[in-house]
Amino acid sequence: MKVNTLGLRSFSSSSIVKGKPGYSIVHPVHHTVKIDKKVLSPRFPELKYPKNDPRSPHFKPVNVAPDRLKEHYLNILKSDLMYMTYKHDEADKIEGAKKREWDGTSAYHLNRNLRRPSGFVKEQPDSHRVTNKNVPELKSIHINCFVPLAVTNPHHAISSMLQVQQITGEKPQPIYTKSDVGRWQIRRSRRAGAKIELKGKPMNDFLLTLTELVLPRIPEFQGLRNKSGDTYGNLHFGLTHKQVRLFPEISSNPDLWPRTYGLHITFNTTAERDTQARMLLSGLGLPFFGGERHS
Amino acid sequence: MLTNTIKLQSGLGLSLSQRIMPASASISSMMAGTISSQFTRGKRTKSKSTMSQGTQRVVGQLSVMSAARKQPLRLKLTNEDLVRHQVVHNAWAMLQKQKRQVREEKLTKQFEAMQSAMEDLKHGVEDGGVLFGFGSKFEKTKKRVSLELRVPTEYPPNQVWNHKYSKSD
Repeated sequence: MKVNTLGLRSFSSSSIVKGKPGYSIVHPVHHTVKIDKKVLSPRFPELKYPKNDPRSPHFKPVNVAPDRLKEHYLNILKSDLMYMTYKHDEADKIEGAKKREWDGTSAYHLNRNLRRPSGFVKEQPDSHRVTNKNVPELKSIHINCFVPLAVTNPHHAISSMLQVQQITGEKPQPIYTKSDVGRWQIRRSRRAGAKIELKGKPMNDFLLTLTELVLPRIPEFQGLRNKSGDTYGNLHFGLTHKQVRLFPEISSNPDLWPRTYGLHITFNTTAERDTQARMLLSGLGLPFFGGERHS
Repeated sequence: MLTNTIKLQSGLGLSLSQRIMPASASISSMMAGTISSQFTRGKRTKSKSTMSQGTQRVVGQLSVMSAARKQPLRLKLTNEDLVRHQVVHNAWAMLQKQKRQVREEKLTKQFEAMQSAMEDLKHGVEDGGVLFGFGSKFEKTKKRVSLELRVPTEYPPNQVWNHKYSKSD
């Protein structure tokens, strides 16, 4: 093999680097640059069209119907939320707790990892003042339908997927179990339910169905718990398998559904605090109850 | 016992009734106990009865979810139609952009007006900060949009607003 005396070396070999076999501090660049081969290839020209071109096989017509909830948000709710969240003389940015330097009293502090943020385990994100540029908005709704029963009987995995598809009108993804727990009869990498991330029109349609048809029909429903939330503006709640029956897609033909499955629903918003996310969702027709802790 | 011997003889694992009956016999006729020898082209001859009812339901559910049903028909546009589509598409995008700009401008004006009004209350009015205090009172929790605010519909109900609404209802 040719020894490179100039200090340069080819990326394909790392055997002769400063006399250390198998050691490389220069990371290879090949295979890290992604090449879209379908663009380079002269074959299959129809695959090169953008997705909004009707010649593309991925073309899906959008904006085919008015979006009530979107218009409601833009015309009424957005400016209201801007007023509601306004606080005069508020700092533009409040920095979240970050990792701290060691004070250097010990010689061992030199190469030690940074200290954890005070009062937290992880670093906290910065929060920004709400202006006209960043009024809280509903980004997406995640639906998670975990059916542990499906591990022993795979039919439940299919039925739960169809249930989520019927309710949302979009194609769900399967959920797989992650761990082996003998007591719960769970084994790793088995299909156990369905999940879906809704955005745009399907998301708004789902939310309208939920707030106008499903939730008013639940007699014991009080609202979303004021304590729910992950402190960064994402709220959660759940529906039991009986409450799922109230969706019009299922209640119109109950004989087809001898069994329904409960859902976990997450509202993913652009709000940086839970209080702001609750303000937003209350404007979209979701009630809240219980004591609130402010964050 | 008789079935068993016939199974062994035929070696096909068919039951007695399946061997005797012609292939065209329908399930309903089997259920009714009558045997029809009439051949109908394209008619399903295999009995589904081997599958349990639950399995049959799951098979039906799978066919509802299959990708074949989701694939929409591809549009075959002539060049003229394609150009027309692109013109409409671009015009729609332009219209949306204009609307968005108008909305953003309005929101910016609202925000600036709110800010300058609060500045006026703070520095312009000499009342010892009473009005500014009212304006900047900020509830930390339970600030909600009223539940009576509904998402507008194209076909509103006959009774548009319940004026006698009380929270206890």
